[in-house]
Amino acid sequence: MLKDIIIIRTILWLSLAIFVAWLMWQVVVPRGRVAYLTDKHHQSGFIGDFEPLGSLAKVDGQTKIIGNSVYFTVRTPRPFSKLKLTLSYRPSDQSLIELGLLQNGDQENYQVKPLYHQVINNLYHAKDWGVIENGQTLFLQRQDVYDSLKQFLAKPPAASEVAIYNYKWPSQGVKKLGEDKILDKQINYVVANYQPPTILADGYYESQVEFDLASAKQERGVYKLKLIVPGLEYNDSQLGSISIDSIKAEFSGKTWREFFKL
Amino acid sequence: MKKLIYHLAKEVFRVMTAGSLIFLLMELVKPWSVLAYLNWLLWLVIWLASAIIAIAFKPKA
Repeated sequence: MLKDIIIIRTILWLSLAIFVAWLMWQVVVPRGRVAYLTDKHHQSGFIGDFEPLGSLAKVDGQTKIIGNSVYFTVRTPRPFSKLKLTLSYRPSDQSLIELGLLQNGDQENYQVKPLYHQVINNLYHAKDWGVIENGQTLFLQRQDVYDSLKQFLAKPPAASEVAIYNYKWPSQGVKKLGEDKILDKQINYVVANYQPPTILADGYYESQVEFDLASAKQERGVYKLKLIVPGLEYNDSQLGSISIDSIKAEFSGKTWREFFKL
Repeated sequence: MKKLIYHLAKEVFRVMTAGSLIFLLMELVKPWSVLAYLNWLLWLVIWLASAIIAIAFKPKA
């Protein structure tokens, strides 16, 4: 009897010790990398719900975004330097979806990155425009005139033939692509700092964006993000809505060795 | 057998009480360090159940 009690006691206390040690490991993140996932099967405590409720609707048991800007938070157990977000979503007929991370400062200033641009996606996937990818920059041309983006920038065409998105063009006169659903006929070249999303099944897309957390505003390890969908309006035919299938937040920063400079 | 159940429930209650205090301290120092992983409702149910079982199976003096 006494032996049994000692065995039970040892097992229980050891289990508690192992669980507390595991929790500590999760807080410290010694390897410098951690990922949290929220999808239809699992809700991570580190990724908050969408707000405000007025911009959300329950359709066929699924939460859909019906407002042109919704907010959510991501939480970290300790400081990190980079945040990579992977979103899986299904737009209905939106032309533009962007994601912003709240920055330091008194005003509501967001560092905005593109998730989905319908016009560029169509050009990229239709294959009838020439596509040149240069790192994070995408260069599209109606006809294969230039061999590289470098050549294009060295000898650019008339500004009226160029459209840009999320890209700094040195001179005036170029068309800035925003919520446009159709590309003007005179545009022959598109330059964008944009990675088109991966096309998944059932009309879903997957986009990845990376943020530098150095200038991001955080309160007790909580970062605020804004999903921007210009012009999104819900109607009864369910056209104006976006379904979010999953959000994956990957944080990376110093490992414990780098932290203590070992 | 009744005595063994009593001792088992008592030990579970003790360990879970200690665990609750540790978790409370961790949460105060670092919010969500425990709540993000622990199903606190299940924890509470098991904790209370162990207390009730220990009382119910307590050997009479």
